[in-house]
Amino acid sequence: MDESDRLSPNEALLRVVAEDRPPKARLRIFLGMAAGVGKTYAMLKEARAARERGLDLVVAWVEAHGRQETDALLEGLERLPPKTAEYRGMIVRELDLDAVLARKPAIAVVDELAHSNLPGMRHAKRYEDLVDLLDAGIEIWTTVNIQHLESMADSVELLTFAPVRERVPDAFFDRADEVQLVDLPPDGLLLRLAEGKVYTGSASRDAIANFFSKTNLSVLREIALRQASLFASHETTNSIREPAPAAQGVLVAVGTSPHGEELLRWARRLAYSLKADLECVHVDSGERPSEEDRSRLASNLKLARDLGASVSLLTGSDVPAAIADFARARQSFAIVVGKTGIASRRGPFRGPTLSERIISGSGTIPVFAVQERPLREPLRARARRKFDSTPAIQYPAGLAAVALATGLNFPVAGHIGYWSASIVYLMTISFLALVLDRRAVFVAAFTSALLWDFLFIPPHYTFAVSRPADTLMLVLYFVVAITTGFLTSRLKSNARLLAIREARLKLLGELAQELAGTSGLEAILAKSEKALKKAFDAEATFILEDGTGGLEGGAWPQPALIDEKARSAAEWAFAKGNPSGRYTRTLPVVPWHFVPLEAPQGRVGVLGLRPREGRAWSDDFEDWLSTMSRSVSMAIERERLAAKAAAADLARESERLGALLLDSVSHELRTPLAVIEGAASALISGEHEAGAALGEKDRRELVAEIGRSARRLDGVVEELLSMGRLESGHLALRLDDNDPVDLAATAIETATGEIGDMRVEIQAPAEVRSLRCDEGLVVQVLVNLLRNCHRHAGPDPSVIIAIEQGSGATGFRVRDEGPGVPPSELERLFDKFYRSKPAKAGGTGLGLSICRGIVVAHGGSIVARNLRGRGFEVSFDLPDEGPEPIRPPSPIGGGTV
Amino acid sequence: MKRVLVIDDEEQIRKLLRISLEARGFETVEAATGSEGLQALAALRPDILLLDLGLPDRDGAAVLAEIRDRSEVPVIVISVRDREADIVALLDGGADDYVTKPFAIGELVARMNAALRRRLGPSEEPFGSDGLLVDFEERRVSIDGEILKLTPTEYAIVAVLARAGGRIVTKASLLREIWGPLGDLEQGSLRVHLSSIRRKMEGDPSRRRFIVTEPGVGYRLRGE
Repeated sequence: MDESDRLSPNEALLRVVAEDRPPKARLRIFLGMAAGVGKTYAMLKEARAARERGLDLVVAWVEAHGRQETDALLEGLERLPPKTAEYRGMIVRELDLDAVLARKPAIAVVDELAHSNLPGMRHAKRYEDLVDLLDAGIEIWTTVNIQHLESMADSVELLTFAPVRERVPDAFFDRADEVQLVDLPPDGLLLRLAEGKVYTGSASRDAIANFFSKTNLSVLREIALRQASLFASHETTNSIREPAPAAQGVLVAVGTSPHGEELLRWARRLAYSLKADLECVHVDSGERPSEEDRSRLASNLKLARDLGASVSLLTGSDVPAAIADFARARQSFAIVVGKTGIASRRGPFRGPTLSERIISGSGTIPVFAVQERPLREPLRARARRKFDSTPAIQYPAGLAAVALATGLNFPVAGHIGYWSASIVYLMTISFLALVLDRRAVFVAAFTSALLWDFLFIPPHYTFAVSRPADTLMLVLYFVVAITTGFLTSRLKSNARLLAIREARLKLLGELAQELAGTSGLEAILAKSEKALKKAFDAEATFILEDGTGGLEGGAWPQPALIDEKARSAAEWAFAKGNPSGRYTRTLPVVPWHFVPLEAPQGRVGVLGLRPREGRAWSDDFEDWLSTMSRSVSMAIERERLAAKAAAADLARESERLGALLLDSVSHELRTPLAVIEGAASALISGEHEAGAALGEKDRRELVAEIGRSARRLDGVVEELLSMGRLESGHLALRLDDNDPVDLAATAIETATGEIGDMRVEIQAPAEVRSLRCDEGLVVQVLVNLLRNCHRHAGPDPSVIIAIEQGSGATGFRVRDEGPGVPPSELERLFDKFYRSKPAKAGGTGLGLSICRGIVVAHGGSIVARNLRGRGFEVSFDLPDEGPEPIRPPSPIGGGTV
Repeated sequence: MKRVLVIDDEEQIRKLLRISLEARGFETVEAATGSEGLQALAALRPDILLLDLGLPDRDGAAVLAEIRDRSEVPVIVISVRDREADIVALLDGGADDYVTKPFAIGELVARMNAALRRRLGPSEEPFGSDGLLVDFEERRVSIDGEILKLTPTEYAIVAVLARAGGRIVTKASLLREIWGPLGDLEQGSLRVHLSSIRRKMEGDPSRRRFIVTEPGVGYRLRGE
């Protein structure tokens, strides 16, 4: 193996890091207060200048709007043709992302940062395309108006009463290396507008008139200027200051409230001006959210991410305490909450709101309670919405239970007294609290109190209460019923949380356990698929890394499920390490949700889930999915490492054998060659040089030595060739019936040249059955064994070949009286190139391993053992009928007969 | 003087054979390829031919077949070891004998003499070697003057080997000569007969004097 082919782990790591992080590409944003201030113009002017300086710049997308000045600037600049697509019968043009990636210029100019792509493009938004380009190391120049900035959009809407639909997350803006403000006084812009120099698209004249009022423009300009100066101050501090300490972020708490977005934007502005990190937290209190709440929460959390916040999900039934604890743990600089929030109780006895409770529980951390704008949604609708989250069936169910209790109470109150009726009601409420939601319990408790008063407390059939003791009882009843109900329901919701968590932990535990006990990639994938199916009620698929940093061509288990679009989503997820496909912003038209499979040593592939149609997705699921996928990734990586280790072992073993081969063979080849060379040169010089004359006896001795060396060389070559044939699997046995005694005799005859006059005795029973075998090969086994005896059994050895015939097999035992081998070496004797330590010089160490190969090819077995007392025996047994006629092809031979 | 045609592509082997055979009274002519060899065979009419199997231009078996189409000249095949199947095919295809590389010159010359002898015609002269005497007229085999009691089949086997005069006889041709065209069915009998012959002729099985087994090819009598 070539040393230079291998990288040290460190080098490999460096290479990976280098490949993973291309030099960070610059992002330059041309910021304007409104359309028409000349952003595109300014950008293109700079582009021309850059081009003239010889920079590799292309215009990937520009919205010329037919303006002459712009067209003139474009001349001479390299432009990439847009991608055309048909959408609802119209031909539309979009930025051709793949073309830019393929062209890979140093700088790409892309107009209109806030643009929304057509459905079916890779990303929903243009800024996401630009992220891909930046990731590919391409510097980007782009333009945007201030109102499209996510954190500004609300303020702009408030000011101008014009909705802002296309928004660019602040996180993208934060990435900019340079923000260049393209400024124009409002009067100048209004003049341009009047001259028709400003493209306003299809917006109605009224809207334009409204938007482009002088007041609006002044305010927008102020916002834009402020943003640009803020950015400039960030830029200077960023370049001077050390990285900010990890703590000291602004923590914003969001829930399912429709105010969440407003709150987040406010918090973002605060964090930005404080130059602090933004952290967003949501507490799952275990209440069952409605479908609507769930989607609002998801959109709030998404917005938080877009604003550059890190999102943490907590669970706990005490929401304010959980938030305060988290803030303390993170040493947050401040907590931002909504002012209204949810009060812990409603009505005249309103308890503290969430914000109030957080304020009281937050200790030294300042709390910003943000006043939300009044909701456009009428309060009643909101209230209804709240109640909607409790399944409607619970109210009649609760009331029915109360009615039943009332029926029971008539006889009870009649006999024992009306106070005991309250106990029956209380029991009913406690029971209901176990099965119903809080609101249904409240309604049932309230109704039961009224019924008790009306039906049982004298005077009957009025709500009036005559005795003060009854008043106290009624109030106490109400308090106890509600308290019991709420406590029980809180227990229940905690229990539900616990149950969910427990179920997940159980699934995860099961998966981990199963994966730990599973080997084989296929089995691991099958088990994971089953677990994912169970956990998410979704189809699962895997596409694994192909060993070269790309994705394999096929998907598991059904490649056909992944079409071209799904495949490109999967590849994106793999390349970027982010989820893609359904429920994401990257190729959401794909029915699969892909997440990368992250393992400690790198990505091992992607996992795709295809939930039922119409199924909602939440952050919670994403979290849970990433936990499960981590288990799967680890198992896959473990499997791959094991395979690699096995391959490395194999490589090491073959390396070892290679070294042994060189070692033993070079010695075995060189020694006789040296003798031949030496003897021949001695003979030649003896002929020609005076003083070097050799006697007749010496000459004969030298010549004999040449002959012996030649035979020895021939032996080495013969062994190597035999080994080669055995290993290549091309050994064809030529089976024939043979007389075992004849085989032994032939072996002795054949070996005569090598073993000289070593005494060999054949011991055999009087009657010998024939043996079906390859005559030549079995003779070779015996010759090798005889040669070993000659070499190792000491001077003047005496050898016995004993032939024994058992049932259906013939055994050959070759014994000598030599010292044998140390017991520890017995097992290794048949290994290739193994040579026993006290061996006399000579031998390649192949002899016995050839013997074993031949014997195994015949379906027999061979063993070596030391004899009691003194002596050594190698014995092999062969089936009389030869090897099984049909054998699967094995690396060592295969019967052809 | 006998003329030997050596067909071998290895210059060094040809040189070795030229020197050693000429020292033993042969005249040698050489060819490096199969086609050259066939031309030389027609032009120079050698008495015996040494054919190497690893020729660059054509397969040794094809060369042998062409030789046999035109001439009955004795052919001794020279090959590397472990090509027993090829050797048997060549012997059955008309080659007279074979030696494996590397070989000793003495052995080669003995084989050549045996092959040349056969070409003089089926000899009814008694075969004698190392105390063994096979008298074809009397149908008698004796060792050191002592007559062996052989069955007719056993005698027939010894006679075939003796008539070959030290040349190898493949199992297949032995079977055919004794049992005719269906001889292949008698492999088991051949083995039994041979064991019996050996018991009668050879004393110590580990020190055989007369019948030599060439593993995977056939049998020969040890020459004089």
